[in-house]
Amino acid sequence: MLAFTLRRLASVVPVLFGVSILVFLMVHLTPGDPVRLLLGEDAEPADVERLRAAYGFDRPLPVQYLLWLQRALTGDFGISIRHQEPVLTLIAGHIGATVELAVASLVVAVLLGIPLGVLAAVRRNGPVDLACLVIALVGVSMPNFWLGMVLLAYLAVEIDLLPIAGRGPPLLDALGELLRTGRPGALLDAVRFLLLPAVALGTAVMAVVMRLTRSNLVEALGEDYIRTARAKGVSEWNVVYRHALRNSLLAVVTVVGLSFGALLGGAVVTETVFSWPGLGRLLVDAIRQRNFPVVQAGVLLVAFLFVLVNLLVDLSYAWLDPRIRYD
Amino acid sequence: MTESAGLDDLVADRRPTGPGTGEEGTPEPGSRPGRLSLRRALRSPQLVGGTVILAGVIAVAILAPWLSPADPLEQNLQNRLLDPQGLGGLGGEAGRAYILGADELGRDLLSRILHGTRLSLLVGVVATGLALLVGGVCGAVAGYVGGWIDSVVMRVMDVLLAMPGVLLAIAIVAALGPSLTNAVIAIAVVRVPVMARVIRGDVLAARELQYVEAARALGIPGPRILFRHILPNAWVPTMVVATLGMGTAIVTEAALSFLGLGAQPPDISWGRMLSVGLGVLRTDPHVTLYPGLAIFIVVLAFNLIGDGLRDVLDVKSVEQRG
Repeated sequence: MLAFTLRRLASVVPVLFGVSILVFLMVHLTPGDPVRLLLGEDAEPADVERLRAAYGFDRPLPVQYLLWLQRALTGDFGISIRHQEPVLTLIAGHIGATVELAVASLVVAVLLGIPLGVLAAVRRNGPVDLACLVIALVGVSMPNFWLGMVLLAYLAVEIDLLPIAGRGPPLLDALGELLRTGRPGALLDAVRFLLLPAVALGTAVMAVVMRLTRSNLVEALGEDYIRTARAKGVSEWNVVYRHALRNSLLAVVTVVGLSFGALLGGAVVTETVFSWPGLGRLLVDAIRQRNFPVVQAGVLLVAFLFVLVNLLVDLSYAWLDPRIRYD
Repeated sequence: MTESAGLDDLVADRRPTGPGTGEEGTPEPGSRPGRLSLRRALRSPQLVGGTVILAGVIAVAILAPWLSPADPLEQNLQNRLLDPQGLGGLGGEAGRAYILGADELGRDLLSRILHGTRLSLLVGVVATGLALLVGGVCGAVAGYVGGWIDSVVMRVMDVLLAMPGVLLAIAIVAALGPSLTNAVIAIAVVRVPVMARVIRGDVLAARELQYVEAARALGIPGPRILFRHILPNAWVPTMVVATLGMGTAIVTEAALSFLGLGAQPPDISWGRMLSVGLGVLRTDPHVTLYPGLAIFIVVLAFNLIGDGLRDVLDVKSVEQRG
């Protein structure tokens, strides 16, 4: 396991290196003077000159990259002129909301996807299976931001069931309050705000989880050990849940893990719909304002998280199924 | 991912063939996996349904100017955000206009949705075609030549895959500047590594087959073996991925245009219409509802066809970005 872990860790380094080069080049691909892009069009000439010297924009591109990387590795992504705040502080203030939304979407996907997948597999080739197939197809074909808008229009505006936009208290704080005081008020408030964006973002993953659970479970139910279990007189419930499902969930766990990264990306658009104060909205606003240090840091951070999560999924998969390590 | 469509094929949904699973997935006697016959195609309700829907969508795109009840660009501020008027339309001078209502500038929503079909399909085809071309060449050469070229090309693809698709597209458009052309380039770049991986896998598998060895023994040059012999035989998984990728490309364009980073006025884009809809969601949900429905129908068609092809052609695993 140690050798496998080290090998996987080593493979991540060049990828992150490549991502950093791409993110660095973003500013240089853009037409115009990079210093002006970083400082804004109405910057003072003295500031422009100071930044040009400080960032080494007058030096060769590889040197500029190394200087930028050196600063990025120490967490220095510059200062957002518009916000008058270090970029890292700004990003740190928004990443929590995005991770909270992505995790909540995964919870929605798993809580709905696995039971529906089991139901479809147990009642395969019947009307329930067909209904689940339709739900899955519709789920993956709907753009999540449109689903979000439809949910808003009908559940938040029309019947005023849930709040229309924004974020309640941070979920972790609300959970802390519940544990400390025993009062669920803050937690309920947090969940009320979280529910619609999480459903909108999580529906597509839910559909994938459902179909994968179904197909793996159907395959598992046809195996010899299931026939043996049935022959021994094990109840159908135990056959499905204790024997077949357990063996089907490994692949589902992997997909759930890999989906987390996709959700981080998807959150960029969903956050705009729900005015969710996360990294996605910060990024989109930064792009509109051509605030490049924020865009660079945000993209780099999400890519880093994406690679990290995929690495963890790989490692956990190898840990759960020892055959993987010897491939 | 906002790439709803892309998530579908993150993993292969293999049709069961074990005992007690009915006939689905069981190859027809005498038929070979990877061969598409009309008889097998007609037995897949997904493939048939998707093809019918797509044919309808293509017809709408071609006939949009004749089907539209009004000029999609004509503004009429008196009728701004008019509610849907149903099949009768407004009657009188306006004729059958405003069946689905009007947008924020009083333009006929139905006409705009019908014309928007053109842009969506065009983006899907061009972006996927570009990705297929670039990714195909990269993947095929990497797979066939192997060695350091393979390592370098695939590491570059790994870097592109290390970012969530929508985020990478947004970053590229942020750098190049918001426009439809740049959005298409960005979507194509996002899809290149997916295509490259699939084609490389096929070429790697085919490289060791006897007919390739025979071609090599006959002294046929490498590029000719690759492009004339291997690639025409490796199109099956590629076609499935490309079809499913069309849906992803269309959703990504809609997302970019929704964020103001894709199509710009006066281009008619469903994503752009949705961004207008968000501003008036409280009072006029119809502005949001119908363009989104249009995106859903087109993506559904591509997903049905992709899924149907996967079943009919018995493609066992499809690798795709999530």
